[in-house]
Amino acid sequence: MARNDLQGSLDLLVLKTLSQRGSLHGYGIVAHIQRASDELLQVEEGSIYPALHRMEQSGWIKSEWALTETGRNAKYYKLTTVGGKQLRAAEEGFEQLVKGVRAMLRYA
Amino acid sequence: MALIRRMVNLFRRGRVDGEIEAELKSHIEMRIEENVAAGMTAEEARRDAMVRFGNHVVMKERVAAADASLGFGSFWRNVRFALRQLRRSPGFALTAILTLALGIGPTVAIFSIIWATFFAPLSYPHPEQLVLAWTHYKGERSSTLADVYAQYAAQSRSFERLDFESWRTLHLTNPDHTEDETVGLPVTPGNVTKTMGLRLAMGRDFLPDEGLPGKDHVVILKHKVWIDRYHSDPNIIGKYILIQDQPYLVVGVVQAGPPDRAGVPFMVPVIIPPGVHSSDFGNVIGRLKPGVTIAQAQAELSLIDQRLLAQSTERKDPQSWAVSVEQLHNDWLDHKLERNLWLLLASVGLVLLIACTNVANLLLARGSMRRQEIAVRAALGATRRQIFAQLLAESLTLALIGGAIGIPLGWGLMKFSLAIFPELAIQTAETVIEINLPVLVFAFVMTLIAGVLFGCAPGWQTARVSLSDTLKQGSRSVGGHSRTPVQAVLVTAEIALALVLLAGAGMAMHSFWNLSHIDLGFAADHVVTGYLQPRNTAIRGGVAHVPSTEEMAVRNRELLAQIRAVPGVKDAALCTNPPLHGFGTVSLAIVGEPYDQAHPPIADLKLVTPSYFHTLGIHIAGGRILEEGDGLGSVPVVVVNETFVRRYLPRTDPLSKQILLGGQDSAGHPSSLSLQIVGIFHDVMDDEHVTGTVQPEAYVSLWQIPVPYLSFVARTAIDPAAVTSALRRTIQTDAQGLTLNNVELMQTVVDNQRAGDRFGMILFGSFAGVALLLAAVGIYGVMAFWVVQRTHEIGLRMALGAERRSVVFLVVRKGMNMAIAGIALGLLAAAVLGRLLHSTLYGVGELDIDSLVGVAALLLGVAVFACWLPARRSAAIDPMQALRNE
Repeated sequence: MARNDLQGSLDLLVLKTLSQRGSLHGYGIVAHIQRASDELLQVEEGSIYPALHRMEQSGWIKSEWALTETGRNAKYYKLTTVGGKQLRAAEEGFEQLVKGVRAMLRYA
Repeated sequence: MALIRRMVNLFRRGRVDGEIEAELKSHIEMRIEENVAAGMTAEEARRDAMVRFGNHVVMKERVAAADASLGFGSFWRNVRFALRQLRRSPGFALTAILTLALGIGPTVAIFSIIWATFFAPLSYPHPEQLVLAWTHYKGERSSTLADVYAQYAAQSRSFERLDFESWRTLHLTNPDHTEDETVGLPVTPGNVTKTMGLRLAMGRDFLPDEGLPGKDHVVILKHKVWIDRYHSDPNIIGKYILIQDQPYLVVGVVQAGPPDRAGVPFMVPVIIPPGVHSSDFGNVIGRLKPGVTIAQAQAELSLIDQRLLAQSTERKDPQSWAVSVEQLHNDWLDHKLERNLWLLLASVGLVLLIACTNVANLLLARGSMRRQEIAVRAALGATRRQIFAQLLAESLTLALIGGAIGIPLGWGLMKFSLAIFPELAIQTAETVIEINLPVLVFAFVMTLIAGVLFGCAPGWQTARVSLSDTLKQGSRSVGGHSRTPVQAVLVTAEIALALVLLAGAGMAMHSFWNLSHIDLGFAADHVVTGYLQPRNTAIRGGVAHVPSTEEMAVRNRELLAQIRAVPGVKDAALCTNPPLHGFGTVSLAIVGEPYDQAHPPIADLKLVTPSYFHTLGIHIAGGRILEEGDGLGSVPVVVVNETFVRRYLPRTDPLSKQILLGGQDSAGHPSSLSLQIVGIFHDVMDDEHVTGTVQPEAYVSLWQIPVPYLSFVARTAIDPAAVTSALRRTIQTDAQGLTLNNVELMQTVVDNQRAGDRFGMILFGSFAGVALLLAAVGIYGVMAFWVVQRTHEIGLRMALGAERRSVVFLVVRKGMNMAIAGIALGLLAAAVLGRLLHSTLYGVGELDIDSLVGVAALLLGVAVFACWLPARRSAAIDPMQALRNE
């Protein structure tokens, strides 16, 4: 369950990042998550890639190779329409989770 | 499509690997770049980047896995998870799996029989090219005249080969001369290896000119005969064996295989040259040329046949004749058996449906137990689709395990059915009943359908769990309110289905009981019968010498005296056909009664010696029986059965009437023999199928109309099986050159006649039993679950002063509501079923009140018992305990 949990949250974070920043490569996504969460969410940087590829296979995001500002070749990811819907669903689910956990904490 | 993308990835693994490597590498390099920019040394920057990234190799593997997991990956994950879940509740898993196995097993068994009987391609090379050409006369399919075949063979272009299989009976004498009642088949040369495509274990096929007179004494043996009768003699080729008392040269032995399973044990050649007149009838069997359709072949033969009809002097009414070309397949099935098989498939389908309903109910119950777990998983981010997929994977896993057990169970059931009903294996002749690939595919598809069928509704219901409600309710597992109606509907449906099956089985049993208590009209015990056939008939050219009537009468008297002299024989008679062996129907006229040329009275004519009545114990209802004094010189007399009198002479004294065999011609003159009715006998079952119906019959003395083709019946004082060999010796050594065929005990014949009904009854009965068991388990499960759910409520009731008895009543009444609704629905469906089955049953009305009431009472009783078990447990609830537990 814990792994699913992490995976679920990571998906949410990636989708959210892409929805805010448009097109971004893996390193950029990791950097953004770390910056935006005030270094709170520390994931192994490499673990973003299985997640990215899985989401791409599910059709949530799509990718293309392009040059970075520094002239390096990198794979850029972009949100698809399906991904947008998925993001909203994930956000809702997360809200539910938070509410649920909060409710349990209150009564426990 | 995600699935297709993943599949494509599987095939370009190399390129994908390179891309992943490049992507990961660029990430690490960007991190190094930034680290350096932040002031680290190159070495530090590199190490930091690696640490932050994690295990490079593992990450790469995981990315590749994400690309190529194919969706099956997640399915297998679900299955593994499902297996863990099932292991945690073994009681549930075991019940569900066994229920499914009980549903799938019989389906597989019956389908394997259906497949082999109706659908399996025959085991000859290119069976689709093999066709039969039938002659139709007035819409009835019949065999074809040899002359006609010869013209087909000479003129048609559609066939690679067109062969003739004659229907003549040939007798084979064993090497030790003990028995010789085997029947062989004359075929045109080339039929064996070229048309049918059989392989020879040794020797050769007939040569093209073998079959012409003088060259036709050669024989090909089937494998089984070679083993059984010739003890696998390796030097059999070139030896002579006796057929019709003439030496035949063995030229070939067919390889072991399906041809051994049925049909004739040997083949001899026959050639029908065009233009040579022959009175032979037979099957025309051919192999189509590649590319020629059956319709084209039929059109060609029809054209040839029309030309032949125009010239024919024998076939007078051209418009009554037709030709059809049909695919060779199992076409000689007993219609009753055929109908029975389809009904059985329908009934095992119902059993499977009941099993599915049961498992769906179990899953629903389990689903409400697991609401908590599902809710937590939903809260942790599982989408509804994921949960549904997980639940579906669980039911599919159950189905697959159930199928895996059900298939061997089906194999066992199939073997068992064949053991209790060996006729089935013979009926399906050229194909072998087995669990083969098509049957396995069918079983697998059925299993998947079953899994989805019983998994969908509960899965959907459970996945639709409302998060906040469930979590708020805490550990309390109430909330079955919305579910119980679904379960109640399922149980009601299940009971209705079970009742339909039980009603079918009940009617089959009722019919069988009626059949086994039918009045046969004769005493079958201690009676031996057999066919007597002349053996010195040449294969070609028909009967060589027809003896005169006087000669035949003398011979027959001698023969009867010899049979009577056999020790142990009390009485004996000669006849054209023994009872239950069919008959010959003739049209006739009754002198002085109105006569309709288009619909003349008909009767089954049998020639018997006067001792026939006494030997078989046939009762006389009026007048006298045939007497020894009724001979060639005296007035021709006839005795008729009661049905004859009822149908044709209801208001007159039958004993004053004469009948004219063959009816009248258009001028009103008698066209043949006139017979005085002298007696009326009690109806005897003469039909080859005991159906309980009797046709009008007329018995004439064999002493007045002698014929050379006979059967005998003998009543014995001792065990009839003990006198058969003595009878055989007597007849075989008789100088008349007769051969004894089909020696049977009358009791065995009677039993065999009922075999088809017995088969139907046993199988219907056992499947109905399974259905009853499943329905009982279903109603028990739901009621047990209901009681568990209501523990709190029942405890409260009892605390408030409810008596144990009223609690039991409450539970049983709840169950009875479902049972009675189900039974009522089932009775409606059973009434429809009764109408469908009516024609296959004997003495059972369209609405068989007896069996319906019987099975409804049985089902109700079982349902009460199934409800009473959980009810008793509910009454044992300790109110204090129940209330405190909540």
